[in-house]
Amino acid sequence: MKEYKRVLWVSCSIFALFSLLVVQFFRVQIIQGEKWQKVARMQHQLIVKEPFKRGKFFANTSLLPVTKDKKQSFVIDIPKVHLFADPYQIPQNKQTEIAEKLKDILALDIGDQQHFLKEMQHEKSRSRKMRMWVSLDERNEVSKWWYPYARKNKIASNALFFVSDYKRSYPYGPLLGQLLHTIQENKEEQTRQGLPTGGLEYYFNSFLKGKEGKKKLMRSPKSSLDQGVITKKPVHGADVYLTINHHLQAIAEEEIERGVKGCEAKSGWAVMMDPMTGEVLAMAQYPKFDPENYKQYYQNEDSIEHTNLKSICDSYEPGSTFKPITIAISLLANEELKRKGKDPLFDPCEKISTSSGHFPGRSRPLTDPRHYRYNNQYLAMQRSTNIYFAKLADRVSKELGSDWYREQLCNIFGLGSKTGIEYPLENPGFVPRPGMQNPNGTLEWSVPTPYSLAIGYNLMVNSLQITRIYCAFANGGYLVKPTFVKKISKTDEQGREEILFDNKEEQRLDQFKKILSPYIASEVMKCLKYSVQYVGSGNLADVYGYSIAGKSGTARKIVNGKYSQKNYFASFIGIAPVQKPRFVLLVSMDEPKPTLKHGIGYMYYGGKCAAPVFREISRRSLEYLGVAPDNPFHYPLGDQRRKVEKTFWFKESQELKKLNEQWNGQ
Amino acid sequence: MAHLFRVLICLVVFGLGSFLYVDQLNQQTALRFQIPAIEKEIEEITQQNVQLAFQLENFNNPQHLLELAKQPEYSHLKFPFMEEVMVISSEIAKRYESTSEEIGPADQRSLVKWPIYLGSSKR
Repeated sequence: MKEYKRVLWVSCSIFALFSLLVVQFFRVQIIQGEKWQKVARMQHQLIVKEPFKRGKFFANTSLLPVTKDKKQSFVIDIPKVHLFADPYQIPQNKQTEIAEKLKDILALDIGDQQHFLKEMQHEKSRSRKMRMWVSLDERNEVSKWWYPYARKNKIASNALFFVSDYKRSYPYGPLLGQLLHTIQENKEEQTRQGLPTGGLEYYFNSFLKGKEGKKKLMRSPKSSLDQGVITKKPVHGADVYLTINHHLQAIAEEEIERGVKGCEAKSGWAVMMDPMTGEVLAMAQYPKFDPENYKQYYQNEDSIEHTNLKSICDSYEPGSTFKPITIAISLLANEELKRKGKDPLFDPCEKISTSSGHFPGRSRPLTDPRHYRYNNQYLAMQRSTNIYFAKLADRVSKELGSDWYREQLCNIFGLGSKTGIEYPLENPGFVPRPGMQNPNGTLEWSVPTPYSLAIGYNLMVNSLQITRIYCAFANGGYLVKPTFVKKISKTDEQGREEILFDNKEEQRLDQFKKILSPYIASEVMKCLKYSVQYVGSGNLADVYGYSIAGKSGTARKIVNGKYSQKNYFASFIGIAPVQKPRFVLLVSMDEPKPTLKHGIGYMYYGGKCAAPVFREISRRSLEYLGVAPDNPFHYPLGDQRRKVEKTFWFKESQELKKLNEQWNGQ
Repeated sequence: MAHLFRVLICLVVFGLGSFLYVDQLNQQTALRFQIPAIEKEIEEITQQNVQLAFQLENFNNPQHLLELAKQPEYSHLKFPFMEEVMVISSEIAKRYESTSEEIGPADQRSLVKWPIYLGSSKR
């Protein structure tokens, strides 16, 4: 009986203990299950952020059928890593050795070795950035050395670790640098977003940036930090499809560089625009800006200005390239007077005396490079006479007033306001206002202002503003809205494309304002054709085999409040080919050296330094675009195929030449 | 004796079934162990692909191509005029291919597959 009782007691005790165990299990597993699971996860798992890819910029490959389906990216995000150290886990006596070895593996210099050492001496820190943008091959080399070394010296293997990231890289080097810009090396700490330095990276930042994902890693000696499960996929940024063609851009950049070096200018730039759609096909500038080495540009005061896209961010007095606009305004004045039932201001063929340059309000008379007794609209444009255009402006302002004149410049041609192109810090330019004063107390719009405006002085324009006005001349009178973007889209992992912004041509074309009648546009084009022929001021822009129209300009720059005798702004703007325009191209040279070149003349003139650059860019671009010559008998002197009498605009030019001989004896 | 034999057969079948089941589990575990390594390999290949794409784009840099075009060995290459280029859609090209198989071997055909550009500039 006693034995039975003992067995019963033991059984009950064991049962009670088991019951306690079950209760404890229930408490730990069920009641506190979530809490302990969380603790376990914290101990065994590690959540790291998964980087996203920033959106890319793609070139416009749709200009040719052969490249239509190709994707050419101006920028690629390359996977790289940053090397970090956990100084807390690195013994002091090993720091020098580790720093030296890292220097050797990464092929760095003694300065970097000292930097590594300094970083490892922050003993309280658990994470010090040793080196940014380590390539994957370099990472493998470091890992190959580090893990056996750490094991051998009993150092925690994660005392050195890598953090993945994407580096913005430029396969075409500095091509399109000023337009694209870049992002800063150091990203935002919290969001890991790149901080744009400017340009399109800045303008489209909201589209380009993505969102980080999350990756779960196991804390185990067998589990490498490279592996893990992605618990939240990163959201990559959207891609921007540009209107810029990479090949035309390369041609423009090459020729601009040659042009700037040839005339020893301070800088130079070119803008190529499709006159029908306003799409910018190329936008070159020299000196270049290399986004890969952006820091060098910002650290140097002399090179900081090369980070700006001068064709958009700078404005200048255009000089004679503005004269076609004066013609257009005068013809608009004719139409206005006709509407009012009055006689027109002038006739394009009218013989106007240009022997005297005296105008009211001017202390000094206007002068021309040569003396012309009489001119009509076409002769004046061909010889680029100042007096003729000032006379037209005189008639316009006397008949219709200063306000009407200014209204045409601002409301019709869109001067003095931004074009609205997708680029930050566009310079709106400046058009003087009647009745307003300058900071020095003088009137913005005084009596002689219209004469200055007529020849491209006393107002400031940016390159896009003037290029789009020439587009209006080329397309029959529509003021295009310049753009850099074809579309913005996002592609998912399955390759499905979601279009976020579509700059459809049909929709855009409908929005273009008609500012000139076809008659006015054709009259201006006629003038521009004469300008490139034979004795025209822009004859060096003529491209063999093609019909070209354009105008050169040379403006004195204002230095210390006065028009300089040494500093010029030279430009040429033209349309190619005239009969079926493919592009309008503006070439500008800032401060070309006023040197005299044998057989050419003074190099500071737009017709001498910018026109040849226009010719070369146009010739090579037309060739690339596969545009067949529309002026087939137009060959260089000495070529047997040359039949000058059959060339484009020859007959008209000869008639004008005769007229000039008759009127001016030249 | 017969009962013992039956029990033995049952034990053998059970043992074999258990062995196959455990073996399958082992195989699955072995495959599971390979996953991280394969994942890593895929990631490395993807990264290499990006590097190669960059190098390819680097070679295709239009400035580099313009330099190449200036070399005498490429002087015979010309940009064709668009009016001389005939673009055949992929659908037509496919249709041509299916009919041409009846006509004869590929080397006897006058046209090649898409993309096809006929004509050249003689300037």
